[in-house]
Amino acid sequence: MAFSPAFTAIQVKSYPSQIVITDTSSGSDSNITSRRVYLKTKDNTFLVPSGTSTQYIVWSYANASITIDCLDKDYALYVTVEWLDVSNNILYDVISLLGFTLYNETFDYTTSQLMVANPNLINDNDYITNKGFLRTYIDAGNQALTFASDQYTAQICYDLGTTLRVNSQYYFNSNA
Amino acid sequence: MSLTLLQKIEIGAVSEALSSVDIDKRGLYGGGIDILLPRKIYLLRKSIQHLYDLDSSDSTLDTTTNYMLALCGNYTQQAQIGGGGSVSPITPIRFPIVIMGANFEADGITYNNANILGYNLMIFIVGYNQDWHFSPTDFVYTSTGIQIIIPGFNANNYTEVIIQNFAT
Repeated sequence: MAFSPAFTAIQVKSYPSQIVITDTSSGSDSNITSRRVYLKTKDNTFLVPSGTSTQYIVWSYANASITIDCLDKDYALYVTVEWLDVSNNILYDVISLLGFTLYNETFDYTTSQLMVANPNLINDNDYITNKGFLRTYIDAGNQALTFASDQYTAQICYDLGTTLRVNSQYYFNSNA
Repeated sequence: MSLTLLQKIEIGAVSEALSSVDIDKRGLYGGGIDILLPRKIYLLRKSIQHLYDLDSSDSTLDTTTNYMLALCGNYTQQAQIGGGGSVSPITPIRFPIVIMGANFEADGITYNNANILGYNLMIFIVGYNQDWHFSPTDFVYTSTGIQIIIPGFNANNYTEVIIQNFAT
C-alpha cells in the first residue's frame, strides 16, 4: 500500500514542557530511513531541546513516537515532520499548525481549585475577571489557529495568558 | 443514582445557558441573581473539561466538579429534567383528501396513509350515492389507514373518493 504520511502531537498532563509526537502514517516505503521534526515559532525560530545544535530534532525511524522536551511556555507552533531516505532527501513531509496550551490550561485549573479551597473567591471580582481573561486568551488563541490558521495572533493570545500566569501573585489573590 | 463526572460537566454546560436565560427574563439586575453566574460556571466548567479530557481519572476532578455543580444550584435539576430529547416532525395534512382507485391497495378497499391516523373521518364516494359514509358502518379504521367495508365496493369502479375529517 502506498505510504501516506501523518502524525499527531499532544501534551500529557503534568508535563507541559513536553510534546509527544506519534507517527500515524499508513502504508510503507522501504526507502524511508529516518525522520526529522521542526517546531517553528511565530518569530521563525525553531524550538529544540537543550543540547541540540540543529534546527530540527532527529526522530529515529525505529520509534513510533518521540517525546520532545522544549516548551518553556504555551506556543502556537508549525510542527513539521519529514520522512527521509538514507541520503537525507525529503521523501514526504507533513506540516500542522498546532497550539500547545498546557501551561496556561493547568494554571487555569489551579485557579479553579483555589476557588474550591476558598469559596469567598467566587465573589472576588478581580479574581473572576482575571480568570475570565485567562480563559479568553486561551480560547482566542485556539480559535485563531482553528478558524484562521493565524499563528501570530494565537501566540499573542497565549503570551497574554502567560503574563497572567507568571504574574499570578498580582492577578489572582488567593487569600481574598 | 450518583452522577458521573461527564454528566456533571454536561449539567454545568447546560446550566450556563439556563442561568443566562433566567437572568435575562428576570430583567433589572437579573432579579437578584448574580449576573456573572453563567460566566463563572463557564470558567469552572472549561478548566474542568480540559483536565477531564486529558485525564478523566484525576483525583481532584470530583471536588472541583461538585463545587461547580453547587454553583449551578437550581439549574442543576432543570438541566437534568429538561434534557430536551427529540420531537418527531409532524407532516401537516389538509382535508378533504381526494383519492382515486390507484391510491388504494390492490384489493380496492384498503387505503393506507399514516397522515390520516387519529382523525375522525367520513368518506364520500363519487358516483355511489349522495351520502357521506361513516365508521364503523361503511368503513373501519386500521393501524395504517382505513378499509371500506361496503359490500361489493371496489374503488376502481368509482371516479373519486373524498375523505373529510370532522370534530366530535
